[in-house]
Amino acid sequence: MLGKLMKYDLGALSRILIPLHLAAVAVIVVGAGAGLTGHWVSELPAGALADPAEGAVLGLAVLVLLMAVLALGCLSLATLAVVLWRFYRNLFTDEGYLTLTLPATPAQQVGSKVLAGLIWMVVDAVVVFAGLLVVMAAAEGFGGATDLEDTLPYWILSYANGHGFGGVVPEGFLGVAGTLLQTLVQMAFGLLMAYAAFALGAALAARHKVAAGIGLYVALSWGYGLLSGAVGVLGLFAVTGTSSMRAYYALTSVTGTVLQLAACGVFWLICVWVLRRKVNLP
Amino acid sequence: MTQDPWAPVQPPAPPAGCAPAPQAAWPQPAAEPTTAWPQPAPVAAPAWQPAPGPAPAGAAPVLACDHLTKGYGSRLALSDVTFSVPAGRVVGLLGPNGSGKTTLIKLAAGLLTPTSGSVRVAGLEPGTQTKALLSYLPERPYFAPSMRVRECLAFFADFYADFDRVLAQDMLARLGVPADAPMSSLSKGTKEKVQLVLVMARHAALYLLDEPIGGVDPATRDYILDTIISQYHRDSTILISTHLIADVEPVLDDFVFLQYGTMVVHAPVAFVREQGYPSLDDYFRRAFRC
Repeated sequence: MLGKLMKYDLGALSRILIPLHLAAVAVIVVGAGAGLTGHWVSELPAGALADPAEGAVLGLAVLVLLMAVLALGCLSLATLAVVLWRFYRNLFTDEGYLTLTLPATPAQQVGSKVLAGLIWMVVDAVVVFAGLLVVMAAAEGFGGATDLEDTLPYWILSYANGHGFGGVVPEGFLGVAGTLLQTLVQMAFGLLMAYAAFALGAALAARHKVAAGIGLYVALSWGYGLLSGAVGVLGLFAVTGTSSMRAYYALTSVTGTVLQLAACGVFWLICVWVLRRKVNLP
Repeated sequence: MTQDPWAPVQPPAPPAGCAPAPQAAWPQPAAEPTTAWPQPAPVAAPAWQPAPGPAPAGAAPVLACDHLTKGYGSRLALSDVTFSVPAGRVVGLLGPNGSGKTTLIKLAAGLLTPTSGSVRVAGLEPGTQTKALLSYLPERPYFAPSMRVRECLAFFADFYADFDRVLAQDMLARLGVPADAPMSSLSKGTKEKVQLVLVMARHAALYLLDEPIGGVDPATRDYILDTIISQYHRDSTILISTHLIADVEPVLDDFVFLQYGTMVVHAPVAFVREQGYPSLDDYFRRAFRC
């Protein structure tokens, strides 16, 4: 049953997100073209182009490149919005009359939405990350003295090279795998928190359920922020006397992930509880 | 324990804003004069109809409500409703707007939880198992507008083992509905027909149809009622909720009247004529005159 639910959830999401990500690929190509153009113009011998023309081309190239990067950022937001809209519409609007009368348990319903949403968030992250890499590499001409470390945010590479958090992260594959796992946990955490907020909004609010969901999302984010801040402060006391920032970063990194996993469990239970309690559909 | 359908039931008080009809205008129990509220009396069932009432011993009724109550805050949408429906009956769930018909159907379909009391489908509480046994048609369109008709067919075939895809395709073809048409491109009446075809193409134990003929033209109403009666299995039960009593009366075996969230009467349709009313519609108009 979970597989069948996922098939239709992924299908519904793909209907919107595939064209969106194909458009993003087109934007990446345009951005890379702008980057290459800017690089090519800047590498021309002095005087090869008249000053106004050179300035205009460079200016246009920078503008297009910035717009491409901005568009990739918006793509991530759009993906999250589409995933959340599918969750809300399929369960708490007229479509709920079909979905909630299927012979599937609330856990299967929520599980399907979480897995389908996560799959698309991972696809989106890959497209955005790869797109940024291509655009930035194009701005360096795809070669010459280009060093990967010069084109990617340094902190991402620090994980892979073992320089993050005072070097406590192991080098190489294990470090990258750990980073990816933490990223996945963070994605699931963000998604489940949003799902729980909108589910509670639909259950508790008589009217303006979406607005209630947004308000609850802000409240849950704020509450979790307080909690993780408190854990961070406690971590300071826990590492007092030992050597330091390395131990502190390691402790907070691990406890942060564990806290997020626990929060995922709580939000999951909230979603299942709301579906079991049975929201009165419009 | 199911309520005796022949027990006399006093009509409940109407809410504020709707002046109750004078008592003399309400049909009275049989001992009262001709404008009396009809007292359901035990009647032998017509030879061509199975006898209504509780299911034979050992067989759980297809639908059983036991002191079923549903409240939203301080408002009671359903109050202490008790009745049961055996297999093989076409039952009309009748009553004015706001009487609790949709609430009762949603409770049976597992879309709501009772405040108190219980509702059981084939002896089971609403859940995954009962959702596989019953076929539910809500009042509203429930397919995503972007879904095509053939995708809706595939959806039903995927989730319901009792779905007869060939039958559904045949009915849709006779309706002239294109398989590749998105639901958003269909008219309201055609959408209702498509949903009805999908629901009736299942070989379910219980069909819950919520206002299947409301909001469509008379020709479409006739088609819907013909489809319901021609396609359902004779050992299945249909519960049709509607306020268009004159249209559904010819297809009903029994009826349940709800008013202000309470059950007023549960009886076979033949009972109404035996009480001297020309039709169920006439009985309803006199009994629920506001």
